Amino acid sequence: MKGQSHKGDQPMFKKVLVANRGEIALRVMRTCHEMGIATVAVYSEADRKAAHVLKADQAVFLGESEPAQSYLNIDKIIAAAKQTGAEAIHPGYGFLAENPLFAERCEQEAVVFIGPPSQVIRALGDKTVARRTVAGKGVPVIPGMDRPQSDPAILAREAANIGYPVLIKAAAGGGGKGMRVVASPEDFSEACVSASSEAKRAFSDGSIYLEKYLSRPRHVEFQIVADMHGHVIHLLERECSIQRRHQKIIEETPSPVMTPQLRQRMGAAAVAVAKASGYMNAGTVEFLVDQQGGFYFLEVNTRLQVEHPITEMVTGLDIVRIQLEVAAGNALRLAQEDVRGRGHAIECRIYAEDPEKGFYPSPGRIIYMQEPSGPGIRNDCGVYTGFQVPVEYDPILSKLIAHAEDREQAISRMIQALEDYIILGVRTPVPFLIDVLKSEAFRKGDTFTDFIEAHFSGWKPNRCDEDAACAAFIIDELSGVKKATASSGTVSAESSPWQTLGQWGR
Amino acid sequence: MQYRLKLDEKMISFQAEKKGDHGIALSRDGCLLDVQYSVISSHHLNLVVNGSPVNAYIAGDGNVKTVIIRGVPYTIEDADNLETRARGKKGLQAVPQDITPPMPAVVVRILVAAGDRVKQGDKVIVVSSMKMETTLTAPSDGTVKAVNVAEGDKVMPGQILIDIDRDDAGPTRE
Repeated sequence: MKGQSHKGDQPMFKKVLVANRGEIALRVMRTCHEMGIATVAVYSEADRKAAHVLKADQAVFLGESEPAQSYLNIDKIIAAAKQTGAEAIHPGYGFLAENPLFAERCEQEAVVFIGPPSQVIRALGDKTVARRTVAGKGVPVIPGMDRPQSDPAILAREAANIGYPVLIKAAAGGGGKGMRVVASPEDFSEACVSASSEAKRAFSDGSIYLEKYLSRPRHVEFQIVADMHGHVIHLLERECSIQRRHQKIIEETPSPVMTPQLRQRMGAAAVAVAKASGYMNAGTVEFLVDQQGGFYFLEVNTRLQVEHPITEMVTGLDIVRIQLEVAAGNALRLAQEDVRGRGHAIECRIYAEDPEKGFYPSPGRIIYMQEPSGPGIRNDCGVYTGFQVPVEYDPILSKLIAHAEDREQAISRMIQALEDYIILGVRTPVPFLIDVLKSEAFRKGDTFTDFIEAHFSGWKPNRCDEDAACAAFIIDELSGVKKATASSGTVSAESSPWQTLGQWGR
Repeated sequence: MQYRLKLDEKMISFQAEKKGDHGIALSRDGCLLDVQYSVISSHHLNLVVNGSPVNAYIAGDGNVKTVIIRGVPYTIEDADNLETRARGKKGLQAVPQDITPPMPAVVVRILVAAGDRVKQGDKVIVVSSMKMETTLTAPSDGTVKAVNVAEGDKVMPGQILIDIDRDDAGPTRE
């Protein structure tokens, strides 16, 4: 496991195409460049000036902004790999990352897909197949359907059998896309149509199925890595219970609820799931943990997870490097006992959204941005000042990660970093995240998936600096330092109103 | 110099007076604020308000600005200039009467056609922004007069996606 030699038995790729955008494309390229691997970016119309395009050694234009014409277009991405001579494709997360047809196409075209084999993605990517596979290994699963279904009548009957509230999930799902909690039968059919349509657009697959909705569980997942030689290990857990719209916004490791015994049992279950499915490359086995410490298999994410950086912070490992190594055919250079967590890491997802308006998306141009820094701070960022955040894609701007000796210090460090993180032009959840991290419930580790509804429903920030804010407004008006964008204003760059206004009052 | 600012639906009046090159004195309801400032960049002011230093980050056009202090955004409008720009803005604050997206979006599904009867609260159109779907509903009982968009269209706030003839519109009804 010593890092002195990065050479394995198999030659490393010389060029990798990153079939993604935003912060994750940049993050993958960073490791590639560290390893001396050239990178190819792909981009759409809306992303002509995106950060990942600027970072790559080469960039290939795919087409219109609509995902189907660009980041979801398998033919165009394969053609880009061929055209540039990329030997491997890293799919990032989202888009084609968990699409078995894409992985299969890569296999046919002799381009290495950096992820599991297509048949494993197919088996595990269909959450219902995953449930069947795992249940056979004695890992507990949540009550629900074993097969996806499109017939509304059958779905309604299944919902009644399972009992409301039920959770509609996309069979191909992830990231909360195509997921709906339905409390009563009246809302069921529109929720199914809407979930299925969202799933169709997010994953090119509209299949849905139902699970019993568990109340107040914790979401705990295990990072796994597996090579082609049958070695599978886990890289500890992540707790991702703080969610809005079933999408994680704060993740941490270790989980506040974890004990060495539970970690041992869940880690073994995660590895068993990976082995049962013939897993290769990096993946994540998700569980729900109930209030009694019982755990249930949820699903396997057959991709690099958004929140992988917290695992990297506490283990000191580079998961993208491991992905590249095992994809090239090299054996894992780590045994389970080599994996040790040090300290505590927290990630906050910074989306373009307005936490005061139900976390509605807030696309727009980044007018000004100041990124936080300091010991133990990492910001995986995909945007920059002047960038127009497109409406077509996921609203994630960046992921802010704080690592410190223990949980309390990591929380304090994160709060400081959030207060230093300035993004003007779009709304972000920064003030909301600050209040969550400062809350008693979070500090106590009372993190359940209903955390936001339970503690922060109807949240507004405490606006205790309104005088200073108004002073800033007035000074900005009067200081005479005018922006190039001030076209409609009465204030010109040349003359300050202090000079032109002889008298007070207007 | 008198300022009337609107912050979060609240009107605040300030009397402002310049003090030297980098200071102003503000008075709010008789309370005095001594503010020293330095302009760090066109979006960054360092303020010392009654002796307490604070960084303020600011962006916006002439009348509406967003100020971020300690991570919290403040949206501030110059109320004296509000009247001229109230058109369109007010409608968003009140109960929405028009079927318009709350943010830039793409039309996903149209659930009604011209001539359909709708009841208040009926789902009429689904839009998606940044992969999140939002269902817009009929603001009142009525008849769908026109569907102005097609599935896949990019739409902006303020744009009327579906016209509805309201039953209670009375004589103004066309």
